[in-house]
Amino acid sequence: MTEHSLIIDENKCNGCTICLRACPTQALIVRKGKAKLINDRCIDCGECIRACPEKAIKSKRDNIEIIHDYTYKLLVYSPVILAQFKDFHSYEKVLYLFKHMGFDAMVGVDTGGYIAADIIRGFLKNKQNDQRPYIATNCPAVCRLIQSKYSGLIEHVLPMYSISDIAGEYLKHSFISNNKVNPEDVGLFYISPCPAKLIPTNQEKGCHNIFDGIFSMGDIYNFLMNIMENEDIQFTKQEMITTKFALRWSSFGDVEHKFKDFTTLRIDGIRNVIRFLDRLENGIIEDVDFVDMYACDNGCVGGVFAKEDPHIAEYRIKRIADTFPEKISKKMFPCDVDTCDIKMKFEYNPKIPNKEDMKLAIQTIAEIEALYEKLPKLDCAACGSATCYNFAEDIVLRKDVTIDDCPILKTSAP
Amino acid sequence: MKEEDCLLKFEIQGGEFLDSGESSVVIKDYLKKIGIPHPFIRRVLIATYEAEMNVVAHAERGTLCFMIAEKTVVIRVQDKGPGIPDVDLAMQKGYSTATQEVRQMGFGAGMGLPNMKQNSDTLIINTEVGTGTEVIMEFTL
Ligand SMILES: Nc1ncnc2c1ncn2[C@@H]1O[C@H](COP(=O)(O)OP(=O)(O)OP(=O)(O)O)[C@@H](O)[C@H]1O
Ligand code: SF4
Ligand SMILES: [Mg+2]
Repeated sequence: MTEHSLIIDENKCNGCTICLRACPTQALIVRKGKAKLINDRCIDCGECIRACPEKAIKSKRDNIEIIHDYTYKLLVYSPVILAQFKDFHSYEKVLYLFKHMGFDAMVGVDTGGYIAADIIRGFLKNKQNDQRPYIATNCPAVCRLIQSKYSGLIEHVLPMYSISDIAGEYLKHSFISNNKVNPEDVGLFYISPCPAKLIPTNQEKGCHNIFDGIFSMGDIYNFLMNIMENEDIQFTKQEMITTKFALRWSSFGDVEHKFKDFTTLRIDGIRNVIRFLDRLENGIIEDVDFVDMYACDNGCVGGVFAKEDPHIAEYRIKRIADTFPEKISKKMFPCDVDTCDIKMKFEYNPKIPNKEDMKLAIQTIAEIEALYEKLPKLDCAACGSATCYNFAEDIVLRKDVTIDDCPILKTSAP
Repeated sequence: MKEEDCLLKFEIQGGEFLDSGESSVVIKDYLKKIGIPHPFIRRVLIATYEAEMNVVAHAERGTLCFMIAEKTVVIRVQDKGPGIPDVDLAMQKGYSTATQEVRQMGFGAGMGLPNMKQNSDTLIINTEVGTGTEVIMEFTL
């Protein structure tokens, strides 16, 4: 079964149906006054967490204490965290605090962006790679959306790990070989801006999660604020090696810079992503080479666990990025393991349905459509299904409701 | 092939470029729902789109009917229009009677009929000059 990061607290949920309407994949229903998740539809984008007025939806995450289970503690952080503090010019302090928490070495997701850019450029230059546009795998919510709803677009997905995984793989390998330590003593951790990144992207296909623990950026924010409030810390200068472009790409998805000679698009916001994927599947998108898509508005600066307004965070990242060079030496971050290359496989094995299955499916659709025609088509969600069409589907397929559960039909009946 | 066998039916208006291409999308979604694999869906999508666009570009108006019989998907497009005087010629790659204006809009490459032929398993064209055209495409699962 698909693992999800969302947990609904039944004590807090009052069955208001606001989350049903916020969910872009109709993955929520309300039954007996409580919201429930439909596992195979959820993509972990976290829109329901944002929408819930009762704060009844939460995301699983690891406890920070687990880092002490390992002798060596390595950290990949989303650079978005650097933009969560008013005094963002002193972002080095945040890096220092990570050290203070016990981490031995760390990189930002930007390092993964730096490593990935040239590999992707090489891939796009090869004319034989013609399943264009290629879709980046940086936002797991987008990956899951494609896997669950757009079977026709699987071959457009760039067969590559996300830039946060690449950053992690690079950090772990370089730390182990530079310090000659036993890999089993090394724990690799990630600070995530969102629930989507709390669980492995391609889990159904057996792809494991490279991190030993993933923390919510919100928890880390609290933790750091507490340290700063309660401890007297002598900050020492921390060095960050990155490029302007890598920082911008890894925090608000500014992908064009490094891909100017290709037709490259950044698409942000889950509804924009869905519209684009629909058009792509309908065959009306042409002449685009590379698309980087993010479920959140403005990319990861808009992540569910970010405290700061996404526009302000984007502004701050830009100013931090201004202090870094356009280019650094090629040899800076050598990464020659498979994870850093274009070698992953997104599998999809279509089965041709047999005649009987097909007949049954056609009958089922006819049944659903006939029911739908009887409904008020208000999409008010009062029945506990997200839309009238979903309600008709639930009557026929889930069988956990009947047409009498539509309160509008009941009141308007003669 | 009876009228009532149509699982989905569409009206197509000639000259309506902006709102066109809807039928192929609805048919694609339907095939997706009944679990048909994508490589097959893509063939139907491409051929249906071209057939619909030929009504939009060359005829007055038409209807499109989608049906599934045993292991075959059938698309039938009937239009009221000028008809095709020389079908063999029209079938040639690159042959088009499109005006310069239409070509500037990205249509009129003369690839529609060849694409329909390539993506379907059988393509039948019945046409009468001055009356209209009927196109029947079959796709075997
Ligand atoms: N339904 C139709 N009614 C009348 N003429 C048609 C019809 N379909 C095709 N034709 C004729 O056949 C020619 C070739 O059709 P085809 O679809 O291959 O190319 P096109 O429509 O001109 O261009 P493209 O499809 O590449 O945009 C058309 O230019 C037109 O003269
Ligand atoms: S855009 Fe970024 S923050 Fe938002 S869901 Fe995707 S990966 Fe997470
Ligand atoms: Mg044509």
